[in-house]
Order: sequence, then C-alpha cells, then structure tokens
Amino acid sequence: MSTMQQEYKTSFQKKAIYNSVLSKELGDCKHRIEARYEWKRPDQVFTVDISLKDTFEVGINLNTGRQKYFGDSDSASMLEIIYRAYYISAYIRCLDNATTAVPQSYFSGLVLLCAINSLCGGKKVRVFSPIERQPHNLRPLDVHCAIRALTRLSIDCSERIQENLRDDINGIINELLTYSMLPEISYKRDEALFSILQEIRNLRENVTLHRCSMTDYTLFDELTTKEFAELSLDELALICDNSQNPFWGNLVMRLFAHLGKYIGTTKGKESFITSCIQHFGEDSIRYYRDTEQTESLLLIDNLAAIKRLSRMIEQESSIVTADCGKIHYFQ
Amino acid sequence: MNEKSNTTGTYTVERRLYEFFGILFFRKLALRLESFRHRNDNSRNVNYHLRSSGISSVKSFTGYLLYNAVCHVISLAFVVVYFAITGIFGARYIVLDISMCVLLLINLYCIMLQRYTYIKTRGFVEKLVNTKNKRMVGRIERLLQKIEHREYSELQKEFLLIEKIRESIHNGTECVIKECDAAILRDISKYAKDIFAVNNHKKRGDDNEISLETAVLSIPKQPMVINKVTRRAAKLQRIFRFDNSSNVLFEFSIITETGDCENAYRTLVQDMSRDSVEFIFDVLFGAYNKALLPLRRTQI
Repeated sequence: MSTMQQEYKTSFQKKAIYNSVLSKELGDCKHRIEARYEWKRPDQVFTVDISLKDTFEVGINLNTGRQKYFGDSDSASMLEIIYRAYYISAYIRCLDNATTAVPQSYFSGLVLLCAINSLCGGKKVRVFSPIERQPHNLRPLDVHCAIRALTRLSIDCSERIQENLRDDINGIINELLTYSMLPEISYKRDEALFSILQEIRNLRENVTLHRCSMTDYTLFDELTTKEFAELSLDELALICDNSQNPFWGNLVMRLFAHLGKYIGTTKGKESFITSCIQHFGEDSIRYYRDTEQTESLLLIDNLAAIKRLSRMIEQESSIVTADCGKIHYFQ
Repeated sequence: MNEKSNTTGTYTVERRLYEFFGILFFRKLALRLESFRHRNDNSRNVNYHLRSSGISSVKSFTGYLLYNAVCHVISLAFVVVYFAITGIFGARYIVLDISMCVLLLINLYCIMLQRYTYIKTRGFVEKLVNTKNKRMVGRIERLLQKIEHREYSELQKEFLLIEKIRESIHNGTECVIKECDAAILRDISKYAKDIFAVNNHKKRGDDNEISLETAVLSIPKQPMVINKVTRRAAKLQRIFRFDNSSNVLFEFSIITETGDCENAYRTLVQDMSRDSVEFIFDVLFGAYNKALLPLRRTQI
C-alpha cells in the first residue's frame, strides 16, 4: 500500500481536507455554520440541522467505507473526500441563498423549492450522494449539488485524475445532467416518488403547520398577493401564465396533470403553459433518445415517471403539439 | 355453448346467494367507510374502483380483486389461528373472542364481496369483448373494401409497420415510429382515418375553482410513481399466472420521433385510450392480413 493511500485513510487527514476545503468555500456564508464530525453509514455524506435560526449545524460523516466511485488508484480516497467536501459546500450554498434566489429553469426552481422546504422544515436532514448505484434518499437538490461538486472536482483536481477516471466522472455528470432536463422523481427510503408532488406537499405542511412565511422568499414573490390557503387553482394558473417564469409554468402544468385538472387558460394557444407543454414534449423525446442504452436506475425510473406524466398531460389538455415527437404511454 | 350457459347459470346462482346474504349492503358500507377515511384528502383507494369502463381497465381490475381477497384471506388465517390456539389451551377472553368473531365476519364478507365483484366483472368483460368483436368485423370489412385494389408491395410495406406496432402493443413494449415510417403511416391513415374518426370532447376546467390547499391535500403522503398496492397486485397476478395483458402494471408506449411522425400518428389515432389504440391496430392488422392473403398466393 502506498503512503498516499494510507495518508487519506486516517480520520485526522480526512478532517484536515474537509477543514481546508470548507473553510475556503463557505467563508462568506450568511448563516453561522457549526460543523462537527460523526461516523454514520458510508453512503450518507452529512447531516444538516436547521432547527436553530441563522445556524446550520453540519455533521460531516467521516466513514467513506469502501466506495469505489473514484477507482482504486492511490488518490481515490482523497478524491472521494474532496468530492464530498465540494458536495457539502454546494448544498450549504443552496440553503444559504434560498431566500433571494430566482430560478431560471424548472430544475433550478425545483432545487430552490427543495432548499426552502429543508430550511422551513426545521428538522435534521440526512443527505446522501446521488452517485450511488441505487440511491436510498434523493432529491433534485442532491443532484444539483453532485453536478456542481463533480464539475469542480474534475477542474480543480485534473492533474490527479487519470484518463479513464475522467471519462467515468464525465459519464456520471452527463447522467445527472440528463436527469436535470426532466427531474420527475426523487427517492425516499428506496421508493421512487414524483418530486414535484412531494415538494408541494412539504411546502404546504411547512406553510400551514410550521408557520413558514412565504413572503421571506423571492421565489414566491408572484404568489404572495394571497395566502396559500386562499389561492384557487385557476388563480395559480393565471399568475403563472402572466409571470412567464419557466419554473411556475412547468409546476402548474405538472400539478394540474397529476391532479387530473384541465390544463389551459383563457389565452388558449398563446398561453405560456402551452409552450411549457411543447417543451416538455421535445425534452421527453430527447430524454428518451439519451437514455435508450442506459443502465442507471435513476434515469430508468425517471423515464417511467416521464411516460406517466406525458400520459396525464395528454389526458388533461386539448393542446396538440405537432412540431415535435411525443411519448404516447398506455397502461 | 352448453358448458358456457351452465357456467353462467352457476355464476347467477352464486351472485344471488351473495345478494341474499346482504353483500350489496356491505358494499355500500365499505364505500361509506372509504369516503370517511378520505374525507380530508379528497382521494380514493386505487384497489376499490375501476379506472375506466374500457376492456383493459375492467380486466386489470381483477388484479386488485385478487389482491384484496388475498389480504383478507391472510387476516382470516390469523383469526383461525387465534381460535385454534385458544381452543387447544382452553383459554377464553370474552372481549378478544367477540372482536375476533367480528373480524372473522368482516373478512368473510370482504372475500365474498371480491368474489361477487369478480363475477360481475367477468360478465361485463364478456359483453364488452362481444361488442368489440362485432365492431371489429364491420370495420375490417369497410377497410378491406378500400384497400383490396392496392398493389402488393405497398400493402406489404404498410402491413410490416402495422405488425410492428401491434406486436409492441400486445407484448407491452416500446415502439418507436421513426422518420422513415412517417410516410407509410400517412398512407395508412389516408385509407383508414374515416373508419376510426371520433368526436374528441375534451373536458372543460369547471372544477379548477377549488383551492390549492384542497388540491394539495388530495396528493398522497408518498406520491409514488407506482404505488405499493399496484405493485403487490401485479406480483400476485404473476404468481397466479394471470394473462400478461390483464396485469395491473401492463404498459406499452408508442414513441413518435419527429413532428412529422406525430402528425401522421395523430391523424390515424384520434382517441388516445389504450382500448382504442388496441382496437385500431387490431382492425388494421385484420384488414391488411385479409387483403394480402390472395396476393401472397399469387406471389408464390
């Protein structure tokens, strides 16, 4: 065993890497961060406790187990720890910026919604990395952080990464990017759930049960003319149509389809939701083509969810999108 | 024929017997209990209701009936074990005994209800299949008149595409309609679209006035892509060797690669229900097969 491999297997060395990366990355964080180290199951990266106001209590897992994501080379264990450190920093950054961020796409909006729900929930959140073969718990926020962490890793540690490992890392990044094109599922205790429904349900619980104020978040600026409980589905559709924000448009399209409500506004074919349906059709075909040969469970489960959603949208809208192909799913 | 009427007769007697024991009242009670259970979330038990009145939906519903029955049989077995143990040791607990008797009765009625629904479902499927077959014969004849004068090579090309799509429909796989298939599909729909034309009445958004709060409450706590009940019902159907196409998880998809393919597909298939798609491609297959039969003989 080489000295390099031994070097990063001690807890002391692991802590040293975490300290150096995280202090540099999270130095300008608005929230106070209290970090400690713990020993949990190897696929868990860290826990974050947000029960105290303005403080994130982070428990970093030192047990990396025998993970082989970064090969068997001498620097594999070091790369694993640097990846985890970047992952933690990306996650904390998302939580830190949740109040002011404005989403530019459906995926970024969903990531933001996850971060807001984590912040409002006031509970301890156990975070797992989505690059495992079978994710135990996974949310779009985790995928976003993994993409950022892997990209940083491949740039910052390029000299330590061998050619074949670089290809593997790029392969994982591509898989996660494909998922981010249509992020329909999340995992909870190994079960694939519809991510948007899960997050909306969590939001409702946070707003009504935990008294989370929607006015604190820029994401809800469009909606805060009314309380969550007072808003009707028609009003929500109208607000989203007028906002022209891809996140809200896609959210309404998905929510209506899942609830079995008619998708459409008075604007008819010119409505923003119509263009969202059109984009969904195009993206679902692109997603299908990209994942034809895949063995990734995440992508396969996500395709199953896309097919079901595609069916629901077809049933609930009279909008015919004929400029692109489509998935016609039957069950 | 005689055997069939005998079976139908037995089923009628069995049905009447269940009705005599008050199964209809019990069903009402069970549905009341279900609506009470879901009073806050505005949802329904997936294993209690038909998805639609189409053949495929009614057929696959038998999977849920099987699932419900198995659950109640397991529960019944526990009650039997309880009475066996207390009987052997001569122990008597009045409150527990009464509760177990009630549980026994409930389970018996539940199993009877599943059987009663199964018999009714069976009769309904038979009726639907007969109607479908009659409709199919008529449509095949109409289509045959339109295509029988056409050239062998044209018909053969179209037949191969129809066969490919029909196979994936019956085997529950994916079928990709590629750019090169668009023209063939357009040719098929030129002859067949009038035969399958439907009036598409999409529902209006009258019920969208409900509050977001109520709507969100109807989302299950764990909005699974495939819920556990469905997964278990599918597994039981496989164990009991049910027909694959009536499995609750049976699925197929038709994927149009480009807008051109989508247009051609839409012209042919206007009603997007599973039964309708199955019907269209069964009719097409039947008509093209019939049209090609004499031509194939001359080719040989």
